[in-house]
Amino acid sequence: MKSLNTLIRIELFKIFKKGRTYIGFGAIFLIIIAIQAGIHFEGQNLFDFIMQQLDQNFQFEGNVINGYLITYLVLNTLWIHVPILVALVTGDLIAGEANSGTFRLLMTRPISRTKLLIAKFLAGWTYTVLLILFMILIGMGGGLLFFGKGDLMVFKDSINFFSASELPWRFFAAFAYGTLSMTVVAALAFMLSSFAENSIGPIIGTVAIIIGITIISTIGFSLMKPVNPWLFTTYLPGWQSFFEFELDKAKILRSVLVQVAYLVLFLGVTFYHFRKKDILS
Amino acid sequence: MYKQILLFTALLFSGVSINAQDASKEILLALKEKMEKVEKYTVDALIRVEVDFINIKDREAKISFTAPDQFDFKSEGFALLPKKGMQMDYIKMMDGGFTSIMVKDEKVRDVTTKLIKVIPDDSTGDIVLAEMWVDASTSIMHRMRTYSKDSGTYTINFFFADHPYDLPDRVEVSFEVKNNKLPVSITGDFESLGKKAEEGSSEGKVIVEYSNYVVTGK
Repeated sequence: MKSLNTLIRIELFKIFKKGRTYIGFGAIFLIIIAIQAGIHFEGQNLFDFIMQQLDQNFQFEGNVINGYLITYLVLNTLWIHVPILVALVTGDLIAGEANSGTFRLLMTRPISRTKLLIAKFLAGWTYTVLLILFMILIGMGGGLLFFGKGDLMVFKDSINFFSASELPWRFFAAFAYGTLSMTVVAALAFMLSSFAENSIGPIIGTVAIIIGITIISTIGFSLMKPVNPWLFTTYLPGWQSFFEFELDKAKILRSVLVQVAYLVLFLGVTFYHFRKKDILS
Repeated sequence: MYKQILLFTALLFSGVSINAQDASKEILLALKEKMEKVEKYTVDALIRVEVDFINIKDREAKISFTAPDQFDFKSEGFALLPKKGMQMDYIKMMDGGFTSIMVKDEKVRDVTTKLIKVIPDDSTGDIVLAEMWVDASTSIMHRMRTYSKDSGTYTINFFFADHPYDLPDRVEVSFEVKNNKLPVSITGDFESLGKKAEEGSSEGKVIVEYSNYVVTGK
C-alpha cells in the first residue's frame, strides 16, 4: 500500500510537472470568467429574451441572475469541453512514457505492471477531480461571491423553479455525477493510451469518439434511438437530471450503472492489454 | 297607427336600456366606492401556479397595497404573479369612464349576482371589455373576466371569508398561456432533441390565498 502511495505521488509529480496539465485549469478559468463577465454585462438582456415566453402572462419577483444560475450556465457550457481537458492529461499517462522512451527504464523497477497502472490511473483521476473542484471553486464560489444566492430557474421541457435551500444538494449531486462521467472519459483516454506509442493519438481519439458519437446520436436521433441507451456519451449531460423538478431515480440509476459498466470495460481492456504488452520503447 | 306602435315600442325599449345602464352603473359605482374605502393594507400571500410547463412549489409573499393601484410584492425567492388579477384593474378602468350594460342575473357559487358588461371609454387602454359578476346587495364582486389587447382573456374568481372590508381571502386567476419552446442553444437541454414540442396554448391558473390582512388606511 505504501509503495502504491509513493507511485501515485510520483505519477502526480510527473503530471503536474508538464505544462499541458495547466492548460485545463487555465481554460476553465478563462471560460468561467468570460461567462461571469458576459452575465454581468448582458445577463439581463438574455434573461429578458428567455422570459418573453412568460412575460405576456406573468410578472416576476426575485433575484434571477445569481450565483446558482451562473454555476448552472457554467456546467451547461463546459460539459462538452471538460472531457477534452481530461483527455489531454489522461491520454498521455501511458503513451507519454512510450513517447519519451522511459517505459523500459520504468519497467526495470521492482513494481508490477498492475500496480503501475493503478497508480497511473489514480493519479489521472486525481487530476480529473481537481479539475472539477477548480470548476466548482471558480464557477460556484465566484458566482456566489459576485452575484449572491437566489432561486434557480431551469429551462428544459418545462420551466423548473428551485428554491435556494434545495440547490446545494442538487449541485453536489450534479458535480458527483459529473465526476463519474469524467472518470469514464479518463478511463477511455487511459485505455487508448495503453495502445499507443504517442500521446497525440489517444487524446485526439478520445475527443473524436466523444464528439463523433454525440453528433451522430444527436443528428440521427431516430436512427440511433435503439443504440443511444447503451452509449456512455448519452449520459455525459446526465447531470441535468438533478435539475428535473421530480427526480427520475430510475433514469439516474441507469445512467450511473451504464457509466460504471463502461468504466469497468475500459479499465479491464487496459489492464488486460498492458499486462501482455511488449514494451519496446 | 302602425307607425305609432313602432315609435312606442322603440321608446319603451330605449327606456329599458337606459334604466339597465343606470342600474349597472350604480352597482359598479357602489362597488368602487366600497373598495376605495381601503387605502392601505398588507397581507401574507401563498401563491400556487398551475401551468402545464411551469414547475414551481407554492411560494409565500408579502403584498402591500396603497390606493389607488400601487401593489408591492416581497418574497424570499421567485414569485410568479399573474399580470392581471392582482391589481384592482376594474377600479382603474372605471376611473377613466365607462359604459356598462346589465346582462342578466347569474349564480356564482350559490350567490345570485348581476352580470354586467363594462366597456371602458378610453380605447387606448389594455382592457377592451370586462364582465363583472357583482352581488348588488353587498357590493361584492365574485367573478370578473377581462378581455385585453396584449394579455388575452383573464378570468378572476374572488372568494371571501368574513373580513370587515370584504377583501378576498382567495383569488383564482385563469388565463391562456402559449406553449413555446426555447432553442437548445439556450436551454442546453440536448436530451430533449428529437422530442416534439407541444404547440398551441393551454389554460393556466394562479391561486393566491391571502391571510393576516392588516388594514392601515381606511
